[in-house]
Amino acid sequence: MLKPFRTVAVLGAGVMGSQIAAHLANAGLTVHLLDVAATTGRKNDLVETAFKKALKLSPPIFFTEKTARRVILGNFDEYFDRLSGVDWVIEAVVENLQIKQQLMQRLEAIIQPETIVSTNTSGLPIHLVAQGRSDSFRQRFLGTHFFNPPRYLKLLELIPTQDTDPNVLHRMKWFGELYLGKGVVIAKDTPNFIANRIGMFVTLLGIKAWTEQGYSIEEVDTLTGTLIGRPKSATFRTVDLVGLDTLMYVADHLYQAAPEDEHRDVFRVPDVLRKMVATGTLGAKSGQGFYKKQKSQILSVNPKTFAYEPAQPLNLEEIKQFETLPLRHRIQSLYQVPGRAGDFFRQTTLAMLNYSAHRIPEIADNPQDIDRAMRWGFGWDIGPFELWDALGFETVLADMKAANMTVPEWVQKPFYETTPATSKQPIWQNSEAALLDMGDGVLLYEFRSKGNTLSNKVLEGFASVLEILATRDYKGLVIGNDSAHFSGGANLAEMAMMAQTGNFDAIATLIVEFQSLLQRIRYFPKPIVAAIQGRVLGGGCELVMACPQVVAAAETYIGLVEVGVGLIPGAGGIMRMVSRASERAATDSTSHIQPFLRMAFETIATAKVSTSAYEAKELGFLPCDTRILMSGERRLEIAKAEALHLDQIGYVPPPKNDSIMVLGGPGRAVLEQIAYVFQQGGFASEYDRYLATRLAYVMTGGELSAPALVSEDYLLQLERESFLPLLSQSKTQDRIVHMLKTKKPLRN
Amino acid sequence: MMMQNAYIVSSVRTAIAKAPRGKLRNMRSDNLGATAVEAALERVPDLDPNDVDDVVFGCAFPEAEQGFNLGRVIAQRAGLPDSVAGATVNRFCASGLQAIALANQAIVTGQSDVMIAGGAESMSLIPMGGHDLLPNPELIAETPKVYCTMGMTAENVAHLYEISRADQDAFALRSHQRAIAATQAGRFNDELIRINLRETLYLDGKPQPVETILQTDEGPRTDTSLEALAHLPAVFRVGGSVTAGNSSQTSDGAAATILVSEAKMKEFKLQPLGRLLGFAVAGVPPEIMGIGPVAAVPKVLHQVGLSLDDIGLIELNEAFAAQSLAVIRKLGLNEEIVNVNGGAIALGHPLGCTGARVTATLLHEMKRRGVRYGLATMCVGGGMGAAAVFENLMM
Repeated sequence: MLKPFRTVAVLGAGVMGSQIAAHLANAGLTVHLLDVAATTGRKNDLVETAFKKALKLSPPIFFTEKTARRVILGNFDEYFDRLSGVDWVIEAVVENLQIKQQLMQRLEAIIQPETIVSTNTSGLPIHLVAQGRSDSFRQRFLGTHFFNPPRYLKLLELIPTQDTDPNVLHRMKWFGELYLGKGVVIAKDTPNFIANRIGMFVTLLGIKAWTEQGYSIEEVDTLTGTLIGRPKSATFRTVDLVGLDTLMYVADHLYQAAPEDEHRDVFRVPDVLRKMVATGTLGAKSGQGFYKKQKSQILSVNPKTFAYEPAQPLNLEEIKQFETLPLRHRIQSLYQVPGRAGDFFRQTTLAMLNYSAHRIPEIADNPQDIDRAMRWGFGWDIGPFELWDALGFETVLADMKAANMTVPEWVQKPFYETTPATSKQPIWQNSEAALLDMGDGVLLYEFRSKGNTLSNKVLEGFASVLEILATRDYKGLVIGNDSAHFSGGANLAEMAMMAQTGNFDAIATLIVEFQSLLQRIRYFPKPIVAAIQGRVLGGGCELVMACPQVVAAAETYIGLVEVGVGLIPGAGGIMRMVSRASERAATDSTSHIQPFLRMAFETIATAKVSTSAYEAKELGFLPCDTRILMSGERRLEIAKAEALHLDQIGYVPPPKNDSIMVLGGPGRAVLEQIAYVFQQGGFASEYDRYLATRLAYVMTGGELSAPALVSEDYLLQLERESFLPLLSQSKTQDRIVHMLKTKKPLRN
Repeated sequence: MMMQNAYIVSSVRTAIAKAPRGKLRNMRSDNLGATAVEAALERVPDLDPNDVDDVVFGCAFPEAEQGFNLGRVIAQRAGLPDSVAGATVNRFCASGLQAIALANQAIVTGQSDVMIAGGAESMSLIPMGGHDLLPNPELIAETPKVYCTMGMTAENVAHLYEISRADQDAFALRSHQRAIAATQAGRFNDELIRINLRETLYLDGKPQPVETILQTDEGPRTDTSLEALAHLPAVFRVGGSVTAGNSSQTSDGAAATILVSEAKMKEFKLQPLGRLLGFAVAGVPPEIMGIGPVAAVPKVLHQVGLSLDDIGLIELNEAFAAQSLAVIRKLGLNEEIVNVNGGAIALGHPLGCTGARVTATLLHEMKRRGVRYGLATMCVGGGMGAAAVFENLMM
């Protein structure tokens, strides 16, 4: 039986150490974070300063502010004995072999015989770190290479040495995937392991196209970014973020450490880069790198003069024709198109694919692991061998031979079996939604609209779905999808269209129907479970708030963001926040309810979106019994189990709350005063304040001059009455148009 | 109605601690107030506590730990006999001064002979605005400016009276410099009393006894500079000029003053420190409350028949540098005699205590300097000013 870790220690509170500690605390572990003792002042000063710095990182490294309390700070002088009580020690101190080895020696003397020890080194050979330790120690020792930022980057490379007990490796993989939500890839103890080895190769190819082949920085970034399914920061912007010095250090290291590498010359650092580092041009941390932001203009460096110049127009006309195609078509077209863009892509792609093929079995056992490492560690949409298959296995092979490249013998056939689409026929579907059978009597309603918005088609679909659930022999329903983001909310374009044509009756009907649909979902006699991750906004949030049970990926960003488009929630979002505020209060006393109401008000009035599912619970978007998963991809499976479980215990929908305490005029004054202060201070516009007063009106029960217990329907009616008039306000319409055009909120 | 003279025979204060993380963060303001009352009584050992009629204390947010009629709780905690009554008064930042004025009135009108008055506030325990601010719905609907935040009023004053950020920061720096100089020279020694606090705190995983002795103000900083102050962001308005550095500090503290009638003074052979000649309050627009002293000072001077030229020392509460400078400029005050030992920007501003704190500071500095007339004034939230003229009787 595998045992999860409960108490762990991270040694080294640098950028990586602190963040690893944070993520382990996010996973519910108790974490000791230790660093060297300060030589002056209090011995904990150093670790405390480092940790404070990490707390300021953005995006946040902890799920909630309180999570940080699970990290216990200490120093090697006074608190090394704490390590005798931990299940797993992660070493993340300075990249110096001797220091690491000495630390391991000290560690061996104090840890329990079953404690696992790992190093997070990204450059040193793993086996050397444990050199000189006992057999027993080395059997429990391995490399655990997290990627920065460890909370957000999925890849965890595990690097066993020859001595690592396979059971230890197995347990670590299991724990990493299930409890830390990581994508685990087993790597070999070779220089820079998998992702950084390939990644460095590709980065240097890009840089050399600039230094040697006359492609501009902007052109290389265009050709190595989202166009080919890689992050927007592409090549040069990524190096600016990582640091030019770091890149140079790793490349120099690779050149030294991989003498057998047939493409070792690629790791030879171009003189331009070396000179930039020598003059302190290190990227974002020094204020300028390959790029420099000057006022609102982004300049790039001239490799000859080192001056920063405005971007020249891209000489890549040919890519325009397929920029809007789906990824696979895009890269296939790019691979075929004559001209500079195609040349660059063909040349770098062939080199990268050939290089990757030669790295098996050196750095990984199979092509799939290399693909996973690049997807999870570098944010590529498709890995090298998936790309090879997509371009045509034989085509690439022939092109390699034509280019006089040697191809390893193991490359014989496509890397992935093309399985014909076997997905089962939906039970019901329209053009933007489908109802699927998850097996065991559980249904899945999946949105397929753009951005998974709650379009008219998706909403219409619900009627059929609930009809099927009600009349056929199914046990429950899951609402969810495979996408990175659960739902962007209402379909703004559809609503804007109706508003612009003055069709307010249709909108009024739509709101009534949406409200009653969500009420029906909440009080449906069979269990309905929402399975969410990523962005869950506006109407999407209201839908989730209506669901009696929620399964959420820890990385869930949920919020009622309606004020951003000049509206307030109109489908039960306000009603349910008020209902939860009075449920959370100790008594019906207004002064007990007020703090919760105030928090809900500020959350909605500022369109606050949670930074995690845990924070969403604190904010009141998710119920306290929400199941939160570190490994978000399991959400549908767990939601199904949840539906079956609810069915098994004898499902009863939650009781309708027709005694919601609202605070009336006295409570409204409190909220209006907050809106007044925000606007006076310039933190909110006059219109923001107006919207906030409308929100306050609904939240406190409308015209009531005293507190009262009211029904859900009463508050829903207030929501509708307040929502509709906003749509005819010109500032609201401006906000909607701006959002549709720019995808950013307008502050008018 | 019998008219008689009233005399101040004792005036003391605790050191002012930072809130909410200073040394007095757990000390209730009733205990702080009782400590001040006991110390004030110790300085007049010949006075019989049984003769005290009433204990009147000012407090700006008299709720929770400082609710339940703070004045009476302080009387009881100070070990005064049951016969001594107690009351709490609230005029926000002028509460402490208001308490002293009321005590003075009670003696002057012949209703009482011995009064203890003061102020106490724990901003660590009860935040600005109280735990649960519930504004009046009609006022919020019609004139929300009544509930303008204090920081915003300072921004409004800075704007209206054209007080620059640089001037505010320079004023703040001088407050610290003067407070540090006064502390180092021991100029607060006569008014300061010693706080001896015994607590049981959770430290290193177990309850541990902790003894705190506080006899020095926590607020004044030796390490501040114009550069450091210039770096602080505006906190109340986007693009504004009022910062944490040029605003008063949130604080904990208490102060107490004993007033007696002429008859009692003679009976117990007490030495008078001084007396309150006059007290006035005046209203101003709530959104520029910081300008309050501009209305109150002329009123009190007229009341006592003096002019600014007669005043030798001024305590002007530094709610904000912006309003302090606006008041100084508008009234034409001589900066050399204003807050000679620093003000609330350096020392801290425990709201309801402050009026009683500046009374103690003013009286002892008047005695030291041989100044006959002194002025204590402050702006008051909601749009008011309060001002009092004291006469030094130790010349």
